[in-house]
Amino acid sequence: MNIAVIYGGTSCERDVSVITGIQAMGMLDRFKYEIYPVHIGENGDMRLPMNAQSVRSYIGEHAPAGAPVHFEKNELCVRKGLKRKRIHIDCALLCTHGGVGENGALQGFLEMCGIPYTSPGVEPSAICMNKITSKNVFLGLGANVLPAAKVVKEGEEEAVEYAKKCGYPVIVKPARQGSSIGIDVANNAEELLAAMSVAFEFDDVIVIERALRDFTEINCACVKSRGEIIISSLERPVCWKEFLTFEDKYLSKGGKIRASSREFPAKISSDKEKYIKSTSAAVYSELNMKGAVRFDYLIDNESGAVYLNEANTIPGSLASYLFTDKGIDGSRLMDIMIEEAMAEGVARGKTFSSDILKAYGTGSANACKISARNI
Amino acid sequence: MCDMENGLNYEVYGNGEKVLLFLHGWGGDRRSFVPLVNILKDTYRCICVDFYGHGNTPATREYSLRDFTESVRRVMLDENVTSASVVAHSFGGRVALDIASDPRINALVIIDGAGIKPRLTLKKLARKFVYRLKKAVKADTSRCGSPDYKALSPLMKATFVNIVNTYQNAVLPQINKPTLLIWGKKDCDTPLWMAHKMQKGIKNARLITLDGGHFCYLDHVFEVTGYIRNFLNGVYYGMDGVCDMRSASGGGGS
Repeated sequence: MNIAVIYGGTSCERDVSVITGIQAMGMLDRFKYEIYPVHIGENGDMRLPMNAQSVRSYIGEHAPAGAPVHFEKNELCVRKGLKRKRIHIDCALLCTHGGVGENGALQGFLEMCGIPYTSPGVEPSAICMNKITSKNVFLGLGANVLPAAKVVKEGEEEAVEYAKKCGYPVIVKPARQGSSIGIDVANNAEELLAAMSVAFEFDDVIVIERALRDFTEINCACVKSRGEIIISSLERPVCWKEFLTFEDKYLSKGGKIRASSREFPAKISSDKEKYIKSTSAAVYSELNMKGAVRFDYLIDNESGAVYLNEANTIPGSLASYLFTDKGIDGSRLMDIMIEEAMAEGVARGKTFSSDILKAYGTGSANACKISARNI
Repeated sequence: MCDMENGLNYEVYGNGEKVLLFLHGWGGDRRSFVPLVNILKDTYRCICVDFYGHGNTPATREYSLRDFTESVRRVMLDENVTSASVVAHSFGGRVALDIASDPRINALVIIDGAGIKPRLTLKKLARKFVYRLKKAVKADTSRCGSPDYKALSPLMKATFVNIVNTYQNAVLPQINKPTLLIWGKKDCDTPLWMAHKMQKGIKNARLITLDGGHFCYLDHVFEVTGYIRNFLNGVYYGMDGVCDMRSASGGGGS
C-alpha cells in the first residue's frame, strides 16, 4: 500500500509540521506501507525530499533537496531529470499544521484528486481553523465556550470598548493561527492596542476574549476506529508560566516537542472528566470528523467552569502520546487512521443524468424549468 | 522481588494490557533491555528477568536449557500472564525458541539469537585440535575456551557447556508463532547466516537487518522499538489481510 505523508506547508507552523512528519514516518510500518514523503515548501511547491527522515535535510535556505512532484488524479507524478514516474497513492497521511494544510484547502484538493486522507474533512477542518466560527459552532452543539469578540482591521476602538466591558486582562489571538503564534495577554488599553497590531500581522481577523486569571489547561483527543470513537485519557501540561508562548511550547530544551512536563492522566474531578470526554465525543461525532483530533479545554479554577477552547484537526505529533495508556501506540494509531480513511474512501456525490442539456440544445427556452420538474 | 528458592529475579515496568517478556543474552541481566523497555513501557507491561547465574538470580546447581524455560514459565505464572510476546537477545533466543510452543506465547522477537548449530571453521578445528592434544599429554587446558566460558564459575561452566551444545535446528519447523528476527549485519557471535537459516526454518518469520554487530539493538533503539511495535500490532490487531505484504529488508531511510 502506498502512503503519501504530506507535511510542511506555507504556515508559520511549517517546522513543527516537519517534526510531526518525521515522527509519523518513523511510526509507519515499512512492511505494510510504502512511504512517499511529500514536503510542501514555503511557496507551496511539492517535493519528494531526499533523506526525508533526517531533520538535517530540512535546515538551510533551499532545503529540502528533492525531486519536484505533483498529483494527477490519485497518482503522484515524480519528475527526476528526464525520468517520469507515476505512483498510485492509496492514502495520504496529513501532518500539515495550520494554514492551507489544516483549513480544508488541502483536504479539498485531495478529495478532488480522489485520494483518501487521514484528517477530518473539508467542513470540520474549515470550522475548527477559525476561532470565531468554531466558537459559534461549539456553542450550537451545547458546549461551554468563553465569550469572545471578533475584531477586523480598523475595528480597534470597538475592541477597546469590548475589553472595558468584559474587564481586563483580555487575551488577543489571530483567528486562524495555531500553536500560540501571535497570541498575547493585555492588561490595559495600551497593551491591547500593541497586542492587536502584533496579531494583525498574522491574520486580518482577530479574536479578543476575557482571559482567565487562574486556570488549568486540559487536552483530550479522539480518534475513530472501525466506526467507534476512542476517547483518550486527559492530559494536563504542567509547566505553565502565565502563558504558553510559541517558544515555550515547542522550542524549549533544545527544540524537543513535549519538552514541557505534563500530568498524564490528569488528576481532575470525575464529573469534569466526564463532561470533557462527552463534549469531545459529541463535537467529534456531530462534526463528522475522522482521524486524530485534539480538543483543548480550559478549567476556570475560581468558578470551576470548563470551557472548550479549541479543536486541532491535525494536532502536533498527531496526538499519538495521548492514547498510549489505552494500549494504542503511535504505530497502531497510524494503522487506525489509515484504515479508517481507506474505509470511508472519498465522498463522491451521486451522479445522475438529466436531459437538460438535450432540451437546451433543441432550443427550448425554458429547458431548466421544464426539466427540473422531471428530475 | 526474589521469589522462592529457585525462582528468577525479575522487574516489571509499565502497566499496559499486553505483556512483553524480555530475555537477555549470556552475560547480561534484566537491565540489558532498559533502552527498549523505557520506550515500550508506555503501552506494554514489560517483564525483565534475570536468568540463573545472572544479575540477582544465583545459580545453585547445573542447569539445562529446559530449566531456563521452566523458570520463565514460572515467572509468567507468578505474574498471572495469560498471553505474552517474547523479546529475546542472543542466549535468550534459545529460551525463546524453546518456550515458543507454550500456548500463552503470541509472538517472538529474536534479536541476534543463538540456537543454530555453528559451522565448523578452520579456526575452530584448530582450537579443538590443540585442546585435544593438550588433554592427551595432560597439559594445562585452563587457557582453552571462549572468553564467555573462562569468565564463569565452575557451576555455570557446566551449565554453559550444556547450553552451547544444545542445537535447536530441529525445533524451527515446529514454531508456528509469528516471528520477527532483527539482526546486525556485522554480527560475529551469531552471524547473519544463522538469521537466514532461522527465517527459512520458521514458518512466519520476517527478517530485518540493521547496521551493527551483536548488540545492534542498542545502536538503533528508536528503529528497533518501531519495528517491534509495528510487528506486534500486526500480531494483535491483524491488518495483514488488508495490506499486501512485502518482504522488506529494513535498514530504514527512504
